Amino acid sequence: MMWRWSFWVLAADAAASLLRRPWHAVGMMSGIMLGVASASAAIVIADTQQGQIDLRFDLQRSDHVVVQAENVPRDGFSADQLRLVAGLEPVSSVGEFSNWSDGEPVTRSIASTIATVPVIVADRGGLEASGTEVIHGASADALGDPGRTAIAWVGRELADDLGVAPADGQALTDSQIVVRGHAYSVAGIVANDGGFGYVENSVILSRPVAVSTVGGTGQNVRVVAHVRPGSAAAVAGYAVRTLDPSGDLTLMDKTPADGEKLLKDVGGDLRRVGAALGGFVGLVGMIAIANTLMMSVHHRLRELGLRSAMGWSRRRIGLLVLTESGIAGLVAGVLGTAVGLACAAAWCWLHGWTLIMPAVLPCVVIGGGVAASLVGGLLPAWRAASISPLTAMRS
Amino acid sequence: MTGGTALIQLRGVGLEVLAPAPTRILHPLDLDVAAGTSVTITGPSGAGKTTLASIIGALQPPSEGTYQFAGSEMMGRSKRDLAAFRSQHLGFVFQHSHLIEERSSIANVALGITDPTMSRMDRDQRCQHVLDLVGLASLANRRAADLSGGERHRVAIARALAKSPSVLIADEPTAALDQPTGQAILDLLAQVTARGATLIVVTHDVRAAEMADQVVSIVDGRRA
Ligand SMILES: Nc1ncnc2c1ncn2[C@@H]1O[C@H](COP(=O)(O)OP(=O)(O)O)[C@@H](O)[C@H]1O
Ligand SMILES: [Mg+2]
Repeated sequence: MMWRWSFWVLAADAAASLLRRPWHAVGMMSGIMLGVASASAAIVIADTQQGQIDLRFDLQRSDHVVVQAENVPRDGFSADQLRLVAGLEPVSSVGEFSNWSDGEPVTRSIASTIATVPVIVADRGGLEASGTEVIHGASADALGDPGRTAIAWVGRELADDLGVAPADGQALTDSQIVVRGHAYSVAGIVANDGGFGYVENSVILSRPVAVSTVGGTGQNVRVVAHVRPGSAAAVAGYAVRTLDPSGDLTLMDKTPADGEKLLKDVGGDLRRVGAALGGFVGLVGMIAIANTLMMSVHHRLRELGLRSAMGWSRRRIGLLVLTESGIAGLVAGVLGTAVGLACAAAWCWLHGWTLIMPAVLPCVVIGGGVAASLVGGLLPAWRAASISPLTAMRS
Repeated sequence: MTGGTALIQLRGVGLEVLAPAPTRILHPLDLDVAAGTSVTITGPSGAGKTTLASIIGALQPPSEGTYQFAGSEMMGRSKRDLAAFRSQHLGFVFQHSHLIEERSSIANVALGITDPTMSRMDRDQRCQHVLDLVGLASLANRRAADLSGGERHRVAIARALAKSPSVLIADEPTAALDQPTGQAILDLLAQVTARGATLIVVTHDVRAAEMADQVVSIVDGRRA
């Protein structure tokens, strides 16, 4: 308690000493600030870069392609163009698989069970390409049947929740669900063990049904293609050009990253380079702090000598100077991290990358800045502590 | 006055420095100062007045002799002990006020309080009180750089008084001041220590000598 109080007195005193010569303080902090800024920027850029590399490698490994479009006409993608994509040698299936809506209220007409679930619009090719399987009821062929206007497929989990799933070994009975006020009979139940797990908790409609009942133009209108691994990037490029030769649909390659992390080592090396760079600049900053504090101590010989004459112990005088460097390091660390992250963010934005930052980074680099300042403050602190109490009397 | 009742008792205290060359700065001398009295140390420049004052003030140890303060031996104490001793008992006023220019009067006075456990409120109150004693209550928040020479010395005195020292040592407190201001400072010192503190003033100001209970004259490092 007593120690704590005296620490705050010391800290206030140290802060006041720093503020006495703000430009000195700024000069003192700039080195550490640069060090912390370059370390944090370099590490963030290295991490982001690794994310980019992972993404590209995953593209090489991915077995499906997703392209997303805006401004798709109400009757959907052109069948001829889809056939062109389907005709590519590495493509085994292709079709629409759109997230029409993120959340629509679903209820069973005879029960009060209500859930809010995504509505997917798909055709046969899209279901197949996404790895979605019909486990009960009508096959996906019925999605193309223009005669059946009020049917829906329901994901496995949702079917359980709504109570429309058949008992073991039984066939699907004719049941009805209501999605946003429209009644549909459940044509089939689907499952997905691939990368589209949310299907299991969704309602799937054909495009004409969705357009006439749910309405709207769909949130994420997509074409999914199942491809031979390694060809995803090439197919995605071809699909974008084929499906949207005029650019009206603003098609974008959204092929998802495969979860597996490749090239960890390369990324690690990049981070190490960043840390080394920051460490080196931090070292220079440490010397700058030592230098400025040394000058400051020299400048304050009388003041520090006076403190000594008044009975401040050597330890307390040394701690005062160390606290000054610690505060300078902390401020420099916080500012440096902010500057570094801002630069990294700007860099990523320029390159269209998504910034990746390890959550502990700010703590680590700020801590590093404080540590470097404290080390830089050791010599000046020792020098201050050795000022003779006679100094004030003799000057 | 007998040695038994003296607050400060020097016996054969002298100082010889070895570097750069062996030099005798203060020849062995005896001195007794009773608590609450005032002493003026006079003598020509370079006589050794500051040296004597610094030994009394525990700023440096003598090279010989014994020094007892309130009956306890000062010789052979560690630097840390001496710092603690100064912190507890001594206030200093120097020829120059050594204020921190960028800080207010009251912040400068607060530097004189070395007890880190004193609460902030007590500290502020105490500083305000001593500023009042030296007649600067109204300038508490003025920056030291904006004070006149006389005011600066008053702040320095307030800083020395802030911890209620039992001994106040002033080394040529008037040397840097014009005559009337210097006189006012001497009066102030006499006045503030009239409340029980022991006052040791180094000066070649003859009027200070007239006011003192005891005058110690130093010439060429010897008590004359
Ligand atoms: N540490 C020291 N080393 C060498 N000479 C010193 C030292 N301290 C004081 N002196 C010398 O001793 C003499 C007395 O000094 P001082 O006590 O400051 O005199 P005064 O205060 O009477 O003017 C001076 O000549 C000074 O140069
Ligand atoms: Mg002198």
